[in-house]
Amino acid sequence: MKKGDKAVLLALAGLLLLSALPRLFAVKEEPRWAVVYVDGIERKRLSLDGPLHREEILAGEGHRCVVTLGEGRVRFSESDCPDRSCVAQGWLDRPGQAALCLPNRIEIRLEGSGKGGDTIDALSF
Amino acid sequence: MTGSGTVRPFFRPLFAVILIALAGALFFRSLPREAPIERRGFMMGTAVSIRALADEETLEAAFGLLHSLDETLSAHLETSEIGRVNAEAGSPTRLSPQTASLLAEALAWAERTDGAFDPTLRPLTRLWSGDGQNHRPPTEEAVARGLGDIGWKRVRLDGDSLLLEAAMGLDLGGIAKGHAADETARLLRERHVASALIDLGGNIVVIGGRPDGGPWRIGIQDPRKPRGECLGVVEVRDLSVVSSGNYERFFEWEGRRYGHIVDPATGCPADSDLSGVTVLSERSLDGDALATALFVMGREKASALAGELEKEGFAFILAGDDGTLYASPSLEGVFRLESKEYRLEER
Repeated sequence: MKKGDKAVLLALAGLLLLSALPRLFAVKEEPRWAVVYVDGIERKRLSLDGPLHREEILAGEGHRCVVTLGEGRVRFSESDCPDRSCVAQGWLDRPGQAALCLPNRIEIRLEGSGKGGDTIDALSF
Repeated sequence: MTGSGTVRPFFRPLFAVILIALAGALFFRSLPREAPIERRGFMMGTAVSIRALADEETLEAAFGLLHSLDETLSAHLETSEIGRVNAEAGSPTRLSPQTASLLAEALAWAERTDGAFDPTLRPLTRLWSGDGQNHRPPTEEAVARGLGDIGWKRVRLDGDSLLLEAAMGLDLGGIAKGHAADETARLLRERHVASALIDLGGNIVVIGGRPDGGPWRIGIQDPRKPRGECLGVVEVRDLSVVSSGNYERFFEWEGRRYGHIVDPATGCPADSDLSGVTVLSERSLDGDALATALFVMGREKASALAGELEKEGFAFILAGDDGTLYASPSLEGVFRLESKEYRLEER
């Protein structure tokens, strides 16, 4: 192989590597945020880092829910709604998951692209 | 290359062009795509959202359409068209062409499912939905009276003209979300939206694939687990995914759980040996009606009807309450079972 050939090959190999950089260094995001929507409008963006703690969410007409969050997960833990099915929904710990308190019109969604291919775009329920 | 290891002058530029093209393709694949926008809200008694490669004006129009359909089709609003029709039961009335067409579709599914889907359940759904404060089951007498006031065969629909017997009432809740999702998808397609996910409280319609070019990944709720736990995932494009089961909405009274899906045969929440039903179809309206109907029918009858409908392009995931799971053969490569608590079985 001539000197010139080597230079061309090296340049092309460098170009290939460069082109793959954005993919190689793409951030693998874990679910770190619980986004709280009230009436469809984003009200709070809560970090899931740190120890478990509680956060009060106020809805319209004096209604309220309490969420417990931390250690990478979140759940409704209290609600003044009639059926409290939101509390029965349990923990969310995967991006794309959501929990809903329908009477109080409060929704929690986990955001993040997730590790590997386990992210879902939506849940059919 | 020759035996001496030099690249022939003829191949050198060709080799370079191929590598440059490859590098370019890789580079452009790695670049950030056009970002979708999302809008959320509460309508049709549930949380709704649309995520799409579209502009704000298009999503505004889509939400306007959803709002309008909600105000037309809600059985809970006295001011809706359905509310007015129910108030006028006993006298001939006229429907808008769109509602008449939707009711005709609902009646067709009622016939096809042998009444497991019934758009005249309003007297019973009103009984079981409670007063919003003290949710408790109705008395047996009230259920018996409600059963006397339902029946899809008693609906007289002639074009846009409708006659409901006195005390009867329509509830299109089992089909309205699917219809609304279809109409929203139609609006988005008319505006040349190539990638969108419409989520009407778990009734999903997707247009095209994800913005990154891959298929949309839709989790299927595990009926035996809290909301958000998937039993599996389907990867789809241009399709509707609708699930049904008594796990989503229910109330508890004296230690017993009462689901929200009423069985037209008993007047009570369906006591099904299926824990969840998922329907994949082109039209969400069909999936919506079928998911409810198959759940009410139970495994044996549901499997038989599913077998017929698979020949028409529908696909199903039927979760039994004993941990068995059936997935239509056409879902091979589309559906992936993730939960280890289910075992796939042949029909």
